[in-house]
Amino acid sequence: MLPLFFRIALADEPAPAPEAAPQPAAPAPAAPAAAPHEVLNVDLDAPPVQRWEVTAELSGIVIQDPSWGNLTNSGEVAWGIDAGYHVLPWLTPYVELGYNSAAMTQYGDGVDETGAYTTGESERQFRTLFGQTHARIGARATWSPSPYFGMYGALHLQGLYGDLRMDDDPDDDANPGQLQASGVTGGAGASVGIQAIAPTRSRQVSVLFRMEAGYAWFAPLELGDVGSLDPQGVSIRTGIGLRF
Amino acid sequence: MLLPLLLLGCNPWDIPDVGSNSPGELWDPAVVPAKDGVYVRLPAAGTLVRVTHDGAWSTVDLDGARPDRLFASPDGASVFVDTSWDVCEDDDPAIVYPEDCPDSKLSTATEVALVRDGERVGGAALDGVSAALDQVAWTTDSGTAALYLSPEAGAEVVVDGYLNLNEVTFVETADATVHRVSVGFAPESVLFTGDDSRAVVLSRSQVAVVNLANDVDGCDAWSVCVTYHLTLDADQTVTPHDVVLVGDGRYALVSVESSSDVYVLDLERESIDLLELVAPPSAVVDDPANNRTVFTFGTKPMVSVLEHDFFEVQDIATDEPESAAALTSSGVLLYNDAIDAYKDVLMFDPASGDWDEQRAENPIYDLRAGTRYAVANERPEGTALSDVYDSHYVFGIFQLAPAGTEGVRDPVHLVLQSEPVGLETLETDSADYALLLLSDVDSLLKVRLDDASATSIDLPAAPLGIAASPDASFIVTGDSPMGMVSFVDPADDSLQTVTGFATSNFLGRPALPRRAASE
Repeated sequence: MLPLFFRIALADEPAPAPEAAPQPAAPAPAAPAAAPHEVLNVDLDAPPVQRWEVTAELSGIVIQDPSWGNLTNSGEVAWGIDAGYHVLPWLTPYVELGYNSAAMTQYGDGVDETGAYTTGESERQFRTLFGQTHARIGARATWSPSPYFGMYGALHLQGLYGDLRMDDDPDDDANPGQLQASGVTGGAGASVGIQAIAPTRSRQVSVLFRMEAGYAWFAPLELGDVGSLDPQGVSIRTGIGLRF
Repeated sequence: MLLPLLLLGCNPWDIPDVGSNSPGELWDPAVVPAKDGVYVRLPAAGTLVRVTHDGAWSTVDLDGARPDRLFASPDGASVFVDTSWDVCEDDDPAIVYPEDCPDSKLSTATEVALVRDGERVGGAALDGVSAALDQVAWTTDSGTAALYLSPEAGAEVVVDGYLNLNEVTFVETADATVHRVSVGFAPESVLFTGDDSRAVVLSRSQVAVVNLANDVDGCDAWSVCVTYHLTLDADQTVTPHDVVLVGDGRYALVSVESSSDVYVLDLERESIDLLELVAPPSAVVDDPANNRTVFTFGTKPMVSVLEHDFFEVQDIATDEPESAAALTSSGVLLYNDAIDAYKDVLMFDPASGDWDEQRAENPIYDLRAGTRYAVANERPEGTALSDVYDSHYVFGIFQLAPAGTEGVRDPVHLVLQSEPVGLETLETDSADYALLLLSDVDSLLKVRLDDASATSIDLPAAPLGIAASPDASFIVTGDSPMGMVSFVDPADDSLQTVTGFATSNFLGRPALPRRAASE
């Protein structure tokens, strides 16, 4: 389907005459001469409307729950893909999927055979692997004072799947010291951001850069007997991609 | 959507660490076997878990308190748990965690709970029982326990409010009923008579007899019926060293610290007699079958036998001093575990005074006497130039037979790969066994004692210890940071291993408990 302004340009073509047109009963009174059709000036310099946008995102949440420090030093930082569609020039619903995994070595302090307390890198250790898959669905409302710059606010619903593995010998698939716990949680978030758009020579595609900050609310992530995590906090996101 | 799919084909562990973490001691390998499972302290999480044979584990609800010490009853039905928790005197609702509370307002409270089947008996802690009491004595049926403070306890004792050292706390395990009985200054030892009707409590310079449950001879239940004063001089202190009940519990023989005196207390006639031995005894063993008591002396090559009819002492010379003794069905087994130079192992007949001698290869430090055999762990005593026995840990097997028996097998000594970290014995109708754990050896040695043959039961990790379970199986703890307990059935050498329980509440952040009650 052609864009609307192209349909306007093609409206000058005359409609086909009917095969058997009835003869007029009387000559019509003289009508003033019709004004000639105005020529539409099509501005070929305006960029085409680009409704789709796909970006690679790096997002993170500044986790306030100290328990996260037992599994990762990097909070909830994830790489993802964001895809949106401009249903209106200023309104863009979007979906995003991201993933992150973090491994840590856990040193089990204890007492030695003399009863002395041992600290630091003891031999009794295991590794943890915490994988986080998150999905968001939301909408951005953008104010663009220029075709190359905009500011927006976003609201979204989000889900998080956490998978925790513990293993005292990851190189051995059959060792008994393995444990896995997983859980799902959901929440919502709000953010504000800025975006920059750089058209390309093809004019079909533009490069999009985005940066935003906000807050993410989550229900606790329950990981069975291992415990629970509170994944909410200040969220930060940046992305780069294409608009077409 | 592609990222997770791409990652599916990769080994998830092949990523570098983002850092490291030291959560602390996740579990205490000093587990406590009970009838309903194995109880394990998780110090980092501040919780107590019960691990069962089916591979499951559950947390014992202690109302926010963390377990500090465990004592199991001999029958394995009950477990005493000393607990503590942080208390903040500031009731500000914003104070949730201990670190939120000002140091000047943060203190520690303690209590004792009796746990059975994974729950606190009565749903609460024992009323008014101090967690500072670190010694427990049990009746033969495990129905009553006596709690008191060790005489060696010092500044490390945490007193919650006040602590009365003049009393013994008795607990009836059926319903967690508590009885506090004032017995004298600082109880140092508690014994129960064979019929579990009375408790003999040794305090400094005094011995008190406490009636349990039923009224006897006009003496109320849970009260002191008679007190024996070991000295009439208030300036003199008599510190009991050891006590045995002899003559079906009628007499109490009390040896005294650094003294050759032995007090003979007649619990029925309420009289005291005093005997003098050749030296302070190092061990006292009662032989009810022969109506005699045997005393050994760690520094004198001599054994004294006290008969119970006239309380006359007979001294019998030996070749070497014997510091320890164990009663067996074949007689009294004497050995020395205090001085490395002495390695004689004697089977002594208290009735005749005869003894048969065997000899260990190395100094004995841990001996277990059964019905037909005694086994001993012997430590190395030489340098790298010594012979094989002297330079290694040795496991000794001694056949037990009454003195004078012909054809007794010479001791068998097995040279061990490394230091033993656990020893248990098993007697069956067909054969007797010793279960031996060696340091850094991932297997359990099952040694048949009649022919010294051994089979290995592979363990999933290096062992930390072994303990006998009340259900005739054995518990082996393994060196795993996530917790490892193996249930060993010696009947078929099967092994059921449970791991991962140490991660229970790994992510938990204990908040100040019982805040509502303190407001």
